[in-house]
Amino acid sequence: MSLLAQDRRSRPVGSGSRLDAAATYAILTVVSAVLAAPFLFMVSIALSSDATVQKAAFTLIPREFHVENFVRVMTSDAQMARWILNSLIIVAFACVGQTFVSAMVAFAFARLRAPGRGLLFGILLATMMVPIEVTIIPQFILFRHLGWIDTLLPLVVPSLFGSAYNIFLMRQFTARIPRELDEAAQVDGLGYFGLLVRIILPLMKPVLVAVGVFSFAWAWGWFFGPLIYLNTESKFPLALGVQFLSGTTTNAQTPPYNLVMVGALFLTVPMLLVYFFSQKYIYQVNLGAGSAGIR
Amino acid sequence: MSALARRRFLGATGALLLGGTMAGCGGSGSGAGGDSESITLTMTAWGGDIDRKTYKQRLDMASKKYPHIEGTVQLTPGDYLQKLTTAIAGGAGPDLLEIADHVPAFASKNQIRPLDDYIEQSGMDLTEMFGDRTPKIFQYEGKQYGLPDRSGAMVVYYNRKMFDAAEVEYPSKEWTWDDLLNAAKKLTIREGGEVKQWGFATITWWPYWMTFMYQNGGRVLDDDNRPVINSPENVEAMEWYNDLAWKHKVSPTLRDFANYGEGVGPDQLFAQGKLAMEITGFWNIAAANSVDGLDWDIAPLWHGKEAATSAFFTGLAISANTKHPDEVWKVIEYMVSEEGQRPIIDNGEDAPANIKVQESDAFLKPVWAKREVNMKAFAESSDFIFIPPITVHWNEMLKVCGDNIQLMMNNEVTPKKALDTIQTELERIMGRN
Amino acid sequence: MGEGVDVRVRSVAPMVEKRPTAKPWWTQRRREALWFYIMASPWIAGFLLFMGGPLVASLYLSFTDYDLLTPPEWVGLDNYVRMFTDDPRFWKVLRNTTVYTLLVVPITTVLSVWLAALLHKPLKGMRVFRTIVYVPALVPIVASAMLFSWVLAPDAGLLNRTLALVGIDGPAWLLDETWVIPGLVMMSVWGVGTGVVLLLAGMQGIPPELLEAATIDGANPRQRFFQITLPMLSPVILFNVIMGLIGTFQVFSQVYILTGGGPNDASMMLVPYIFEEAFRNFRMGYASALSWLLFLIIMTCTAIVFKTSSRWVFYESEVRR
Repeated sequence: MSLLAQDRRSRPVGSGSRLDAAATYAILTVVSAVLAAPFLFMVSIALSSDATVQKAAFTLIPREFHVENFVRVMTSDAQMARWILNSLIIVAFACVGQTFVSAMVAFAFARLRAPGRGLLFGILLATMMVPIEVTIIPQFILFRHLGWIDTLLPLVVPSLFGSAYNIFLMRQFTARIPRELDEAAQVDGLGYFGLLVRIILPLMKPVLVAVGVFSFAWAWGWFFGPLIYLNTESKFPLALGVQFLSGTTTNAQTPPYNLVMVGALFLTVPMLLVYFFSQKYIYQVNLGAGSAGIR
Repeated sequence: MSALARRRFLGATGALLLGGTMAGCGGSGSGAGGDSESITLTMTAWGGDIDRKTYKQRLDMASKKYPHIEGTVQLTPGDYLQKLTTAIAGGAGPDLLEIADHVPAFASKNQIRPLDDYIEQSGMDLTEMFGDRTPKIFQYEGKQYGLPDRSGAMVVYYNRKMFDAAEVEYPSKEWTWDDLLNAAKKLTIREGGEVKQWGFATITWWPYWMTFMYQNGGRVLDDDNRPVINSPENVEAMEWYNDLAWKHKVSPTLRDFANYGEGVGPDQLFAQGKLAMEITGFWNIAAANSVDGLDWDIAPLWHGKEAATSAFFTGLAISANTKHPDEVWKVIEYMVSEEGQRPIIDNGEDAPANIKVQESDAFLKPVWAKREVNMKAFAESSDFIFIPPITVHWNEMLKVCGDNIQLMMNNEVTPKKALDTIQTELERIMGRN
Repeated sequence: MGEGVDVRVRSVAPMVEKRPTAKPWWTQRRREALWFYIMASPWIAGFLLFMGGPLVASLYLSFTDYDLLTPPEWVGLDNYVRMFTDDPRFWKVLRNTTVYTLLVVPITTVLSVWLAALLHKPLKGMRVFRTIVYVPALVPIVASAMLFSWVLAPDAGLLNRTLALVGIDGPAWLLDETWVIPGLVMMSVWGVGTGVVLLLAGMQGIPPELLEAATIDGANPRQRFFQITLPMLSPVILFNVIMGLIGTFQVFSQVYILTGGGPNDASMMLVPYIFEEAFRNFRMGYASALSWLLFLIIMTCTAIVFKTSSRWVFYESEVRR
């Protein structure tokens, strides 16, 4: 039997019968309707008039189309461009750091045995178990001593050291790759680094892209860190700047939800597009576990 | 590009970016100025776009008067207390702070300066400037810790068309509780089992029920800050309050509110034209104005055994950690003067605390007003603002009260039981640290 | 297996012809261990620089009385004692958080696997469906919360009206102390997307030859799914379960925005409670103690899952040893 992935004579596994396809479509349509509802609601609110906001009379399906809300938000603050630039900086560091650095660390945890590995892995997981609300104060003091308050540094530098979530994730994916590749590479004189870069990383492309997308989404939407560490508005990322829209003079007031949702759309749509177009790389037709080969 | 080369490239780019971001590095706090004479002060505040604009404007005006002082405002686009306490804990606090119900907490922990000496030196008469109630809100243990800056009493908004249709006289401060109830009954209209129009609205928010308590001669804490919330006057007041929804059915219950949808409270129902009267503050003017065809006006609140209303207020305080207290004083002194308060009303931000400004034509007939509104109601109400029982435990107290009042307003416990529970809880909370 | 076969062929030859210099075991192991530390060093360094100190500091703070504005005051175990003996809210909050987590994690795990199985089928238009499934994770919680509280409205809400059609008198959900947590659990369903994305990525790594071979051997789709796909996915499922536990125990925004912990603390969870104690009630010391307790709870649950995982998680890399 031919083991070449390209040499498929049988139908792709899992396609089943027409009935199966129809049932799948039906179920997915219902599920999607439920899951898409918040987004639709968001759009509907973004297009509402101020009066509707004051009455809190929103509808799920948009009935008003005040597209000028988008213009209002863009002109309400000339800093939008600056904010987007800041976001891009944070995101660039996050994507690079958290994909490649985390991949390397994950590889180490998954495939290299060493004394203390178990303990370190436990510590890795443990760092995710302490709520940030209490570590934020000592961290703030630390960054203050470094003189990094009101700069982008506290938001950007830690990304270069990998993140526990991504390391754990990629470790799980890396552990599934067969060991024989390690030995083959060794015998070919590759060394561990070469093994990582030449063999494992290419095999991990789907999850690398997924992690890249997640990192993008996380860094693009993150506003808690920026809130605490930044004071000057021109340094805010978009996620934080957009929060200005929801501020009100007193807590009792209704936030201008229509403008708030416009801001949220500015935040959400890029992430959506990134995910939509990256699917090609995450869900490429499987090439098999060993097909990357050695160049 | 080989993996190794790619990493080197990224490393170089990273270093460039790092350099770029570090160039934006700046020190925080005061004292960062160009020449040795000029001083930069940082102010923290909360709110929205309009607050940002207004504070900046007022700080700039202060700079014109004192050219060697420059002020920057940091408006927190998130939780104010969290950001402020984190900054202070990290040694990066502001020079000047906007402050409201945190005065006792901050004062008792020596984070803000007493202003009595400054006030005496400058000859400011707080009672003359702000009335005799409002300055007390910013006092702690007899000392003045903040200057009132914005202060608007809660007033009653009423829908004139509904009143005219039902032939009921408009509300005024002569009204008693009976007048309120009678009017609400006439103004509640039901058609086919569904309520088309409510007379009044009662909710769990503290300015509402606490006002009724004070109007009935009751209090939450006594002069020694001990809880007295389950007094007979309060029980009576709460029974009357709760009856509005459950007995007389002139107000939506909490369940009714939930059915209207998330985020629908009295302000929203009023805007929808489904509510004849509600208690709310200055901020709702813009909101009500944005609804076409709503014919409304405002009036001071009715009275019970006593006249009382609550107010929404913010003030200005000097940080205890600032290096330039005298300069901060100069700035806040200016900001509460008539000149310094003008932007508050010109921008439609809020009601000013300075009484002269509240009574001025600029406030009574504001530039931004789309229609005639009885702005005098605010000045008239300032005489009977009650001083809320704010202590270090304010937040905890509100939580306990809110939880139990909610049970009462869901008709799950009687008012007496609710208040007794709150009393016990408050004794426990305020008895310990 | 394409070039994979070549690898095997190629590597056999040198073994026969060019015997590699035999390295003694211990050097080989040492080399591996060294490389482990080299490659893990970025994370280790990052941890020591940015997390280690703050973690220790927050542990220290848990033994103090700290209002954030004045220096912390040592009080020893007082905070921990108070937690267990002098804080009626604590037990309620603990119970709520545990119930919520133990409901959400299994439900979302099963749901995400089911959805991933559906979305993996090579049908047209799957890209659109896959994006829609991930979208709720990107929508701000405020929007989802507003929509959902409308759905859960006591009389006019979509859910109760639907239940009424089959004769059930639905509870007041978010206003009802018994039903508020189930209401929140239902809202968590909107978060399945992230897990699904990972499972789909995991499914990509399953060699189709395995499935083809099974089909040829006569396995039906159900058997293929349960005997091949699911085991191959188990490392990812483990990840989803662990991260689900860690994340759900720390739920914050949904509670804060949707119910504020109400009614009467019936939906109050640990992290909102910690936030309240730290930044509203000026008790950062107590909040730190609560955080470390939360840490212990999560750690214990995670350890249990890991220990039992060897029974059901299947790492292909370990099989051929």
